[in-house]
Amino acid sequence: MHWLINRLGRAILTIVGTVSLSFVMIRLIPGGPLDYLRGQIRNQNPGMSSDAIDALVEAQAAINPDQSIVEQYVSYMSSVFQGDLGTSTWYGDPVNQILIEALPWTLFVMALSLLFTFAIGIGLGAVMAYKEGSRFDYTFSSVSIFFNSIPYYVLGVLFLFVLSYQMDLFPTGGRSSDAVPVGFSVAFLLDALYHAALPVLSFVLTRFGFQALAMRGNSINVLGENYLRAAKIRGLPGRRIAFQYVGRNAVLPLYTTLMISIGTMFGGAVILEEIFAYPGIGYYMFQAIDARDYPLMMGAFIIITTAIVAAILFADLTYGLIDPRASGGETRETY
Amino acid sequence: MPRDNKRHEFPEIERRELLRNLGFGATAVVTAGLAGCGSGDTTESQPADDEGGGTGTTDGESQGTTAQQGGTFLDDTWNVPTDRVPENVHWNDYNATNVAGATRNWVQEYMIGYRQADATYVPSPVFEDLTVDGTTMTITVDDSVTWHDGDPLTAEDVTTQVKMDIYMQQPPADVIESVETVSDTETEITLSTQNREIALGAYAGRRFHTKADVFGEFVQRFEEAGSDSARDDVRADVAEFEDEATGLGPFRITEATTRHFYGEAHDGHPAYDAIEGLSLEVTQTTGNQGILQMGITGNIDYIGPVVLSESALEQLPEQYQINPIGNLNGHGLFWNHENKHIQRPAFRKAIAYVADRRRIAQNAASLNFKAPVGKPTGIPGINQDVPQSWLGDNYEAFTAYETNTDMATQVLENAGYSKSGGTWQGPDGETVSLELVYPGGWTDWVNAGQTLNSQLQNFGFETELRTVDAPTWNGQTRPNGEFDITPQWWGGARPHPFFGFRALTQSSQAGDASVPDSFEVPMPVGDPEGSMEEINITERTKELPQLSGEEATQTVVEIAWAVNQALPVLPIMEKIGAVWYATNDWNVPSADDDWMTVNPPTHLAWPFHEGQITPQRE
Repeated sequence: MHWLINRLGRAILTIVGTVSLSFVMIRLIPGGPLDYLRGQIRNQNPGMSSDAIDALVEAQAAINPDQSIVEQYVSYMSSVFQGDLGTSTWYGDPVNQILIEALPWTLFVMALSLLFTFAIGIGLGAVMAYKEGSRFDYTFSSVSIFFNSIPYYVLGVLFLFVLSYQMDLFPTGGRSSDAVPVGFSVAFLLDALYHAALPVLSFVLTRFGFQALAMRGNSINVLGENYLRAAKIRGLPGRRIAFQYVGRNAVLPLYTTLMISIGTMFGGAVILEEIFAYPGIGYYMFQAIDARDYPLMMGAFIIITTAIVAAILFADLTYGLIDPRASGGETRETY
Repeated sequence: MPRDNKRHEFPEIERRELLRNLGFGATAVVTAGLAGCGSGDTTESQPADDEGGGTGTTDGESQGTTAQQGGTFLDDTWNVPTDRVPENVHWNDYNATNVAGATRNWVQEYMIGYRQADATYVPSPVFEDLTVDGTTMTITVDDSVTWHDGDPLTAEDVTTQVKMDIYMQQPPADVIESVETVSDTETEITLSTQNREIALGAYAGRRFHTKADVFGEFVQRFEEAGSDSARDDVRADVAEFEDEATGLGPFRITEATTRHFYGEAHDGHPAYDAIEGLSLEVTQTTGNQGILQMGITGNIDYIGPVVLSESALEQLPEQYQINPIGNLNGHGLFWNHENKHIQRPAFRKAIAYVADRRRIAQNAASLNFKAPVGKPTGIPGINQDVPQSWLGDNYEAFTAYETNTDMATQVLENAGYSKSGGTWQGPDGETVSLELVYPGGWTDWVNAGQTLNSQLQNFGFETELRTVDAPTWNGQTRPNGEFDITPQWWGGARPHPFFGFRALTQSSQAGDASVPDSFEVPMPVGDPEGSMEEINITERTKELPQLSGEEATQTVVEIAWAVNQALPVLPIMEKIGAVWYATNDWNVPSADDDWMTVNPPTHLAWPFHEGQITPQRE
């Protein structure tokens, strides 16, 4: 129990510490929301005099009067602990509302991406290990390395241009078709999958290779263990050896990787959702960074931080369940 | 020279009444409506489809009639892009955060446009008439026009717009004394300027969106506010207000989703006959790249003013007609007058001789989008020879500062500079070192900066080009004067030189660069070797609104001469605000048609509002 409290406490401290650090660092970025606003007004109204631009900017400034950074911090953190992430300076809406509306879509894309990345990676890696040294192994090792070397956003841009704009096979953006009502229906689910296909494909194709190679390496290590020889001598069926002896032991190290990937994928969503004009958490974070929209930026950042910490905590808490060797030691760390 | 009250004459005829008498529909305005501005004008539109019944307009018949003829539309939806998430935006121009952006071009109306082809101001099509008599501007609304919610347009709506502009300290406010609703259809504005071109210019491109029953409440609160702080409170409330999509424009918004705006032709707009049956579809995309890709695949019917590289330009299908028109502003070098070298007129002139403006413009984004400044005068409108038309014969005597490094060397040496080891040193023996700071995300400007930097280095200046992201540049670099040279907008984006001069002298960018009010200038005008006189450019510019006719023109010439000789700022190029209209499914006037030159407003959407752009039929 003490161990659990310790882990939870550390997780919360990590979140608070990271959020506090982010709060300060974000405000140290030169230029603030009003500076962005000034630039926007000027770009949209090239003929507007500077005095007129100043008047509009000052009117906006009066909505959120200046406070010292300490006052802002105290005010912000007390609001956050009450579940209020503030109001977006650019959109003018509560950050909670924007993020809650956007979160399911990002989770949808991320969940699919993780599912396919690990399913393909683990399956392919296991087969490659069993066929170590074969043409299959060489070919798919090379394919894995090749795709793993491509940045996901490069593939995203390429897919968007070729498959969406040129070949018209996929939508050029958006989360679902306006004609399909949002709800729990097969039509909607298929439509959402259709819109999420390219972002998911961009992630999966550029990440499955890493998992496949990791799985291959783990499996080859396991295949060399003495207990496998013993199992074979005992005459256990090959399928049982493959799944229960090799597969289970080789996949264990990937469990933590899976959890950490949740966080990194949230980070990756920032660029990918912008490329595909897919208004999820990442899309709004990108817009918020551009607009120096501190509350929205912080809100998105808190979600990403919390997701990473929660995923690692979850991995830590549950690792013992899938690997009994880790269950007894309160001092063990999985990360 | 007597341009001030001649070439810019405002049409003061009762346009719609005239057209009604002639038996044309409201959309016939498109051709004959402004006959008062040039009776001999013909609008050379795209040749119409043989079977479509679309006719050219050289016979005076409007293209708007096309929509009323038989056959189905080749395309019944006007497709345009937006970089906003449609369901998140609002339509209040006074709240600059996340306002609807370029979609407003099709949903809202304007007050006045400036037609560059014949240097004429044109009133919004929703106005019956607009006249300026002395210091009285009278706007008469077309009582057949309705707002998108069905309410009739009234003079009170116009009065509300003017009052809101005054209270929100927006551009036209400084030329307005007072405003009054005279009748249901007539608003009378008392101007604070004697110069009606400046008055009209102040309203050119201004959006008209303040429905009285929406914004009237704010007007009342402003009028009841007893103190500056109370007015500031109202101003903050206006800046926070998120208006619904109720406008006067040709399309009425019917739905906004995360991905699209949907709309339909508004039957209360004067262009309705031309666009009846059309739908509007605005698709969200991300930035210029997204817009370009939609254009390459022909998915949109209009591409707003974006700057494209040569290769990107070549990828656009032939169906797009490019419509280039000067934006009356552009990229100029605002140099920091706190710098000891830049303080010296000879040093500024030397840089003007070194900077190859044509090459800089070419490298910035090709000459399709950037017109290099010839003789620096502070007056925009290069492609329309506006500076020449204001300066007349004097223009010849203005210094051209054509690229000439020998001349730059001579000017510098005369000022005590010397070159040692290939590097220029000041009179005090210190190496001349300059920092050029450019906003990083603005690719065309950065390209310009790199070219200039290279030219300065080749000449022997020790320079460094630093790029910073745009918010940092706006929020820190510029206001703190953390630059020796930085680019800024010059020109004022208005046809009258007053606005250009004001941008050079009384703007925040001028303040950032510590531009002095007065300069020593050789006089008389046209004699670079004349005796030096101090000219207060700021004060002379402030005098302009109270001058008209020959007096105003003479003042313009003197200020332009001072700018040319003192170079408080060095104008480098003028932006060409190119937009693209799809011509495969649409009847679009040719790029040199008068209506395709209405700028400001800058998006060249005015022809659509006039019913000039119509769907083709099978």
